[in-house]
Amino acid sequence: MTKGHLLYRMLRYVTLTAAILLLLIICARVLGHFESQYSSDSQHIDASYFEKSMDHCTWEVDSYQGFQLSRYQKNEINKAYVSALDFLYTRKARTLGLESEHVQDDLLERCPFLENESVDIDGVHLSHNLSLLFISDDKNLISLSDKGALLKTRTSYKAGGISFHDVSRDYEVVMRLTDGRWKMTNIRISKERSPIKSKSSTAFDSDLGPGINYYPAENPWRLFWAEYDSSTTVSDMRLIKELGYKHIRFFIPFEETGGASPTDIFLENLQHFVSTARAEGIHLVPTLFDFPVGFSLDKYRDYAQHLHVICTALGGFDNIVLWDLKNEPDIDFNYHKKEDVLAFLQFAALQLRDCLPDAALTISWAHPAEAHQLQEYVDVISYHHYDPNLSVQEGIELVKSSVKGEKPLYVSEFGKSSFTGLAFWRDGIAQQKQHNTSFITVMEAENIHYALWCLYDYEVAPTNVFGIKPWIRFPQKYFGLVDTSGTLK
Amino acid sequence: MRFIIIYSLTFCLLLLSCKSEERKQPIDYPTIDIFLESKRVVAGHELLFRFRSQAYIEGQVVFEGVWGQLVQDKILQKGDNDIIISPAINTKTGLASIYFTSDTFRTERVYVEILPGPSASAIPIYTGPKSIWIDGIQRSMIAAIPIDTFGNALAEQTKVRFNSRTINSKTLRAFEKSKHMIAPYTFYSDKKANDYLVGVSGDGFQAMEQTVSSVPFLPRTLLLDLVQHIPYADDRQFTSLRTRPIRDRAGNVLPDGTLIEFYIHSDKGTISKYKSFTIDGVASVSIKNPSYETVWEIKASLAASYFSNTIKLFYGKAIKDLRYSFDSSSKILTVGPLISYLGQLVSNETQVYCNGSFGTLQEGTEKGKAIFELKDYFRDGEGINIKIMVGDHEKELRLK
Repeated sequence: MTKGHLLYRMLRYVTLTAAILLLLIICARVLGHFESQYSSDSQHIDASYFEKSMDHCTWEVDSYQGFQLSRYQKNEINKAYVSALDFLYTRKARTLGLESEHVQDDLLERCPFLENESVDIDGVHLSHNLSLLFISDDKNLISLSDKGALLKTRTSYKAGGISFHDVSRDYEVVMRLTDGRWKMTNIRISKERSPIKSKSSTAFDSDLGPGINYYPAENPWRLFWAEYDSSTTVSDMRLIKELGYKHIRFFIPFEETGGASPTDIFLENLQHFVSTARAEGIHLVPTLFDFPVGFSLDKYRDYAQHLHVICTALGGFDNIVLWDLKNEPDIDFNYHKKEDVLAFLQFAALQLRDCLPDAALTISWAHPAEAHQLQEYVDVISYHHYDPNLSVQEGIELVKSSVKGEKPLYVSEFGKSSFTGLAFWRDGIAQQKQHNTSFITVMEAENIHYALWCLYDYEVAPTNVFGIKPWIRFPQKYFGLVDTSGTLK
Repeated sequence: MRFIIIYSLTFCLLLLSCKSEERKQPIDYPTIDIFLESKRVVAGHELLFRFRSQAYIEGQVVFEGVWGQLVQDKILQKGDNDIIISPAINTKTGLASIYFTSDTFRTERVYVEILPGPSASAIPIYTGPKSIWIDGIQRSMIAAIPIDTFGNALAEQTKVRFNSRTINSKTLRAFEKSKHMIAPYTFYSDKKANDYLVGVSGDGFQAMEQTVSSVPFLPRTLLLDLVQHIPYADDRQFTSLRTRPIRDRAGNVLPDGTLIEFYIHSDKGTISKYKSFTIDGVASVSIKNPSYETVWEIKASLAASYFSNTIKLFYGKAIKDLRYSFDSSSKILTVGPLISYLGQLVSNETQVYCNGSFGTLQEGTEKGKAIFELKDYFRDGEGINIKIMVGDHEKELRLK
């Protein structure tokens, strides 16, 4: 074989290999697009658009001259009132030609409405405080007031900008019961003002101690709460304590736990988890809204209700020392408008402060470079550090330089996979140990809170969390301190 | 000289271009002050806002009310810019606001209160209940919503006049003021059956005439009579009762269709309720006899408030005796002949039950007899215990 032939054959093999690799990447991208957990939430309105939970409606006065509205009547009025108000305000619904069964036709006809393509203004009422002012003898006509209804608007400009604004309004309304349905016949705004601002921060002075991120070995990620096993929790808590960890960061997904109405079984399991940790003297950092959620305004009411239920369930536990509002929201920047993600986080932070005024908050950013975002809303600056090109010290400096003030830092995830792939000659476990040890040494020297990722290796890294790319998925299985056979690495 | 002219022209051109540049170049955060002619404007009138801008800027003017927003693209020149909201748009009362926005900034809102326009000639009214009983304490309500020509509720404390009368009475006049957008008028029923006519009017508006019927209600007496009674526990028979014509205190017969309920009580409490409607003041009911020996007490009721006299009814055993015969060779049990209360055979298909360890067998009678073939249930040399039941008769037997 001549040298020319050899070169030709080598070139052919290299080209072929490159072509196959390219094809694989394209296939992975295409499939990844469909399977990625981070899909952009759609803006379409379906039939359920106006059938949302009604927990954001409270009644200050529900009686009139000795007559008391029943729970059923209040619920019916709530639904009709909220639906009618949304319908009047929401451009989307009206431009799509949707009809409302809760707005009297002539009221709708009387409302001016013109299209404009430069700006799209969307709005949602996040709270209502209703009072019954009048009810007719036959109980078919009512007059209501709604004081301090909180309206959040999102203005999207054709030029690209997005802005959010909150106003607090007082409404006066007349509604009539026709054919079994309450219909709004008259409405007016009587007052409007800026909403009262919640408490913005809480001093965080707890000593978290060494921490670890937790999923059980058998049912990690989305299966954690669906297949919750109390005996596993008990034994895992003991193991975590024996390993010397003082706090656990764990995850509460939105959809998987029941969304706006978390299920009773989930709440029972959640309380078991927290009380078991308390019995072992372990502090907790619950991470809310885990896995991607949409960020459109019409979902805010559900999020508020979810948050309220979780806070009510866990509010009495003193071993919850820090609330993490969302895991890696900066990854959502790739799939949603950054402004929408940040607005959601601000909203969640204010809601949490309303529910638990003394709770300490954080947001776990995936990248140190984003950790300065919304720093005025959190009490602890939190980020993840997996970047091999950035030393732990560099990461800390990067965050410190971008954050104003002296808020404590918390590296809520760091770690290294012991998976070595085709490099079988490498000792992945030794590298993992060395990486974690050196990381912890620096953070303890810098007095920075931290939580290692994670307790266990897992048999499976689910595609609905990590996508289908094997070079991303496989290493995810081997970040644990304990391998799949249950042995400490 | 030529040099001076050229220099002057160039200088002028430079000045112009600078001015033009200044005009076209938008700046990010200009100061824009918004002025109103008045903080209160009547619906249906033109709204004039003056936007005083420090610089040229492109953006949108947003006029917002309870109904949503009206967005207009607008270029603000440096200085005063008038924005007019046309009368056709300014039609909804209450607080409205206006602001200027672009993708980089937004001004504060400026509020204007839109007041109701001239009152509409016809206003909506809601009446209920549409009929009331003539007991003098029942009441009905007419709720008027005084509105302007755009459908907005008129100002609070708008005076509404309510004129009401029956055919034979004088016109009663009352005034009510609107509160929370509604002016309610309440009136009480009369002592006699009548129709109330109610007219609603005010300063420049009227409403459709409303009629409220005042119907008889309180009965003077409620008496129940027994029409037919076969005093045996035979559920093929019926007991019939009816009320005497029911009249109210004014002597009016209750209107047709008035609901009367008949309650049946036994030693176990209220065991059943039948419903009937009056025709010419009389309500009738036919009740199936019980299938077991018992005593019933029946009374009629109007609206669970007025009760009639109680009628006590005895239902004796329908079958005088429970006879049977058993053929031990063929293992056939014959129940009957069953004799009824007048000495006659019970009617065909009267159900007889035979209960044993094998379960329950059921046969209908034919010429007073029911026949059970039991040979499949006997074992060698052993007897069986059974219980036969018909109506409220039972008998326990040991058969061999």
